Amino acid sequence: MSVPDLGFDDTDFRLTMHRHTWPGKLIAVSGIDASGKTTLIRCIAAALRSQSIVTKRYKFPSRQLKETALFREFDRDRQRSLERGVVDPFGLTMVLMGDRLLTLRNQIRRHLRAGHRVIVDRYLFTTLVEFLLSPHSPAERRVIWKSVEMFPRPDCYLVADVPVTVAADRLRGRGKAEADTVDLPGMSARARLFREFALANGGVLVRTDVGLPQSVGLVRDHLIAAGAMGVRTRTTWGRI
Amino acid sequence: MKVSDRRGLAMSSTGRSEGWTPVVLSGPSHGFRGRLVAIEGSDGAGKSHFVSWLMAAIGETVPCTHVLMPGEHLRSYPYWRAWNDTSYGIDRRLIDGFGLTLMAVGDRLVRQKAIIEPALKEGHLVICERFALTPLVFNSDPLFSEPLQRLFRPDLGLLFDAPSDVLIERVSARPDNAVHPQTRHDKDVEVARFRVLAESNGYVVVDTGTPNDYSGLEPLLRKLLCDNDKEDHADV
Repeated sequence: MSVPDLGFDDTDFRLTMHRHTWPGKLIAVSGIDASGKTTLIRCIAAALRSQSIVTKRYKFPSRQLKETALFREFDRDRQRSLERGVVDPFGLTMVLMGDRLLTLRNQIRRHLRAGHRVIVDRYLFTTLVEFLLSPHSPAERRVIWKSVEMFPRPDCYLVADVPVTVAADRLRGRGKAEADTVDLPGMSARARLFREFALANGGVLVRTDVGLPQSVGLVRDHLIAAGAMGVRTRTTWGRI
Repeated sequence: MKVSDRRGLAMSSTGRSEGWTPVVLSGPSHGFRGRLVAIEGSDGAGKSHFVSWLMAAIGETVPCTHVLMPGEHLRSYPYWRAWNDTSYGIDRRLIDGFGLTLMAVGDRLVRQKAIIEPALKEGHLVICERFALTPLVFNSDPLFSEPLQRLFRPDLGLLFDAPSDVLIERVSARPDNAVHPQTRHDKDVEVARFRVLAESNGYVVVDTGTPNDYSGLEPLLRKLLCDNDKEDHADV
């Protein structure tokens, strides 16, 4: 049992995404709020561009979905919306996955076909983590896990990983609105689930609190191994 | 329609569902004081016209909630609009039907929880324009039909039904018409699937191929509203 006190076992985290056959590379970056995803993504994008590699960045859910009333309403007070029972978490997960799939098929696919590198912030794992933490039935989980099969497996799957106390301090440093979202037990549960997904699906945990050079060094090796970038990058990383 | 006639109900140009099978929904009874009316049918079948008529007929005697599926937020979502609206100039075959159906089904669950359930608890007559049958017309895959089993069983289900050539003519005559044109074959299939689903799920079929004053529905509606007044559920 990987996460026994949360009621999940290893099989819950193994995902059967399909391998895409396009020449481009899909790089997924996940992690809890304030785990350093954006910094990591900026570093990766800068390094790839320094090698003249066409690089596109996407953030999920899509801007189009975020602009809808449904999302704005939910996002205003996510935790309380779920607690008050006014949001159906299973239905919301289906909406969020549909949005990701549409963006993948209708926007990202053309870049992968063209051989570009596509970095996706909050790929699929964020939605799955939130789903696992909300009340749901085994049948609902089967539907969501079956839908995952429609998604391409990332060529490089990175999880920004920091102790939750560090992430909490970062959130507090961002101002009151974000400081109010600090929920250590919730952040801790999410961080654990992100790690489990990474372990079960070939993901790489990247500590973002140990100094940028060390973090990006680890990422660079994985990007090279995944064929997402060439080897002549050390000086580029050093400048970031 | 006999079971033997149900084979071959495959749409060609939309490509949204091959190997379609009729789904029997066994969703939960809502158990609240209010009443749920589900109205289904193809574009041009007269659903909105009926809703306006019903709301006017009821007036303020019964608190009413009108729910349109999918919700306004999904209708304003660019891919949804592009799928339905030719003015976007996007070939709908390029839009991922699986993703859209996931969103349409998920949206129904979200709206049931957020709008329908509270309204039923308050004793409202909830008129839901398009409910569980519409997604099933386009795709009967268990991935979609299983979540739809979570939708409440309506107290009254109505299918507005007209021949496909009438439906095509009505939609194309709309002044704001920008919907993707359907082939006659696909419209025939859609209409036939609606009929099969209505029969399988106990919906009342309302013929709107010719002008209908809904007088045939009045006893049903009267009974529904009468039951609404009499019942006093323990959980309300």
